[in-house]
Amino acid sequence: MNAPLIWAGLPILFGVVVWLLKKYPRIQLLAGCGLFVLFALLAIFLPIENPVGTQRAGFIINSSLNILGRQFVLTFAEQPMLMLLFGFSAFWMLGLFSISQARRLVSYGLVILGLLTASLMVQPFLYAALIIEAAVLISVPLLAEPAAHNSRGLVRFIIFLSLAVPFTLLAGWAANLAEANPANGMFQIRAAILLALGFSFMLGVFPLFTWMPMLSEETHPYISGFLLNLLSVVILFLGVRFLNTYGWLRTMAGVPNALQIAGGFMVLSAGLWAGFDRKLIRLPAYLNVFQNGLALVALSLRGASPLILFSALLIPRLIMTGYLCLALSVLERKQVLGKGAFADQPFAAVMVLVSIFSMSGFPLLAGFPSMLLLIERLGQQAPAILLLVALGLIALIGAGIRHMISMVTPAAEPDTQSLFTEPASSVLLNIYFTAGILVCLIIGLFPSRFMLAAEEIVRAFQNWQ
Amino acid sequence: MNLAQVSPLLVVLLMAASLCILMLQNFRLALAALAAQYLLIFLLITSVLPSSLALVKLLVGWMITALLVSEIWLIEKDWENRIALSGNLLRGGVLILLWIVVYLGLPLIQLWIPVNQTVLLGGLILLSGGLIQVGLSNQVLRVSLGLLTLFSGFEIIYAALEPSVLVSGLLVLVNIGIGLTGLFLVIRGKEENEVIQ
Repeated sequence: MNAPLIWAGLPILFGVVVWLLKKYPRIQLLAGCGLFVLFALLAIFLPIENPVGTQRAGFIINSSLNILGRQFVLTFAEQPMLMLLFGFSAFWMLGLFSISQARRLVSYGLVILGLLTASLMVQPFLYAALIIEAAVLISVPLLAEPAAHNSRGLVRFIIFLSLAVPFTLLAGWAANLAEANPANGMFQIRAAILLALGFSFMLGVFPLFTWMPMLSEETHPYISGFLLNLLSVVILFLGVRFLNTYGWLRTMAGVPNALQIAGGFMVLSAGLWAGFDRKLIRLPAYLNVFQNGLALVALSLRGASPLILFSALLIPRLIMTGYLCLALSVLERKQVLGKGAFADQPFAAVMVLVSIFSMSGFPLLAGFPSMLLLIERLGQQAPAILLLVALGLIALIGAGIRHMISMVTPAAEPDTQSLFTEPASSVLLNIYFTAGILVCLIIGLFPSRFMLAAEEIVRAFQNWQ
Repeated sequence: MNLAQVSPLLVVLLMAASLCILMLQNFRLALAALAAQYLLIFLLITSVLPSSLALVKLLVGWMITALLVSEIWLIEKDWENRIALSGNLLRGGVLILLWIVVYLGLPLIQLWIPVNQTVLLGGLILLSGGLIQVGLSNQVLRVSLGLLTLFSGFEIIYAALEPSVLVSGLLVLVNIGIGLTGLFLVIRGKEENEVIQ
């Protein structure tokens, strides 16, 4: 048995098996969620390259797998990262118990997560772009809403992610060449430019993120939210891995500045777009770009552990986006996205607002500790970028206030039909949202525990100084 | 006559095939051009890849074409769109202009991507053809064919840089995926329209 097979091969296989159970939706959902939890637990308790069990009946999980002359490698140090990905997915899948429209996510989610995990394991990792493209293409049936009459966002999603493939593959080739010829600066510049183009398409660097809000509007918020966040996090990890492997790229003059400018403009543009867009359903997409921008800015910083700051930004992001998308799904189902939301669905409406304010670094909420650290470091190292980030944050807070006013305002004409036909908000969902608000407050008030977890997540990237 | 001598002719034929896919309003003829394009790619790529590996690309290309042919009665209406003659001429004009730019910039591009000039030109012609198709159309079918053309161009160039079996295999999967995804989205759109009617 080896690690890539367990955390990449088996999820893909089980994803197909779970998909075959679609005639039995309850069993499908239970099996899928159980598998996500199982893989997350295995990432915690099954150490790679260490003996498991007794000396007689024990076994060792190998870290590598050979396929067509290439290696898939997963080390012990990367297990916390896996735990984050599978744990986040398991947490996301739990919400499916209350959203029947998005239940197809469970089988597709296993396959997509398996492929994305494989993309983090493949060596040389230029092949990761192709595996990500495969995951993108597999996600198309999941994103194609049966009732949607417009698939422009979906088509753009395919185009933009596909355009990233040639650049990333060429960047991998150029990086190998640059490493073989360290004296020739031209090779290094070429690799850096190709890599920047590839990652710009994948991460939605300004102005290449137009497809994200369109996709959010066209598809179920819970599905698009899961996919956008999972893809972004995996691509960010890939970028970190690239920079960790190629030290010359990390230390190259201009790379930190490029990361700061790209990240700063992503934060500013996403904040402004979120502030001016009336449609609440597009918000998860803007928040995704916003958080990607913050992650890039964090990676650009010098000094003590920018990577810990990077992963400290990821944890509240994943938790709060999960709750935000669940709350938006509830509001959309009840047709109260906007006016009248507070009166009709108070728990979901509060959850939406808490998520927005948490991600904009509001004091005492989950996003605050990492945002405070980021702002402090930016103030010391790049005041101009701090200005961009601060403007983005203000715009996002403005968006939160605007949506709050809209939600508190009573609906002009209450939709009596939907009030009678739709079941009342379930107690379970209200408990779930209350727990979410409490988690948000606990992380905000006691950040030391989650900072330790953040440190563990990036343990694999040891070359980073 | 060896392949090196006929390569420039292959490039010209690739230009013709790419232009046909972009401008033809008849889907059957466009598919014939796509099949011819894959044959030309195979001939061009044999100069940098082993014939067996190049043959895989031809077979996959024809497989995708056959897949589209199998549903032709259902999807051909989605190809024959509302584009006026002027719009079509604009696309063709933009593409030819882009090819001129590519041809003029070829020595500079060759500094960055050091492969045989004919192979590079062939790849860039398809890349630019695919890019124009993808960028100037909203139709799923045209976007799919554009992406297939774009990837074909990239495969030609990348095969010359890194002749790896795994990359070729993964690119084959991506090509099939793009073809299937395009077909899926077009057929889904059709079914929705039928439900609405």
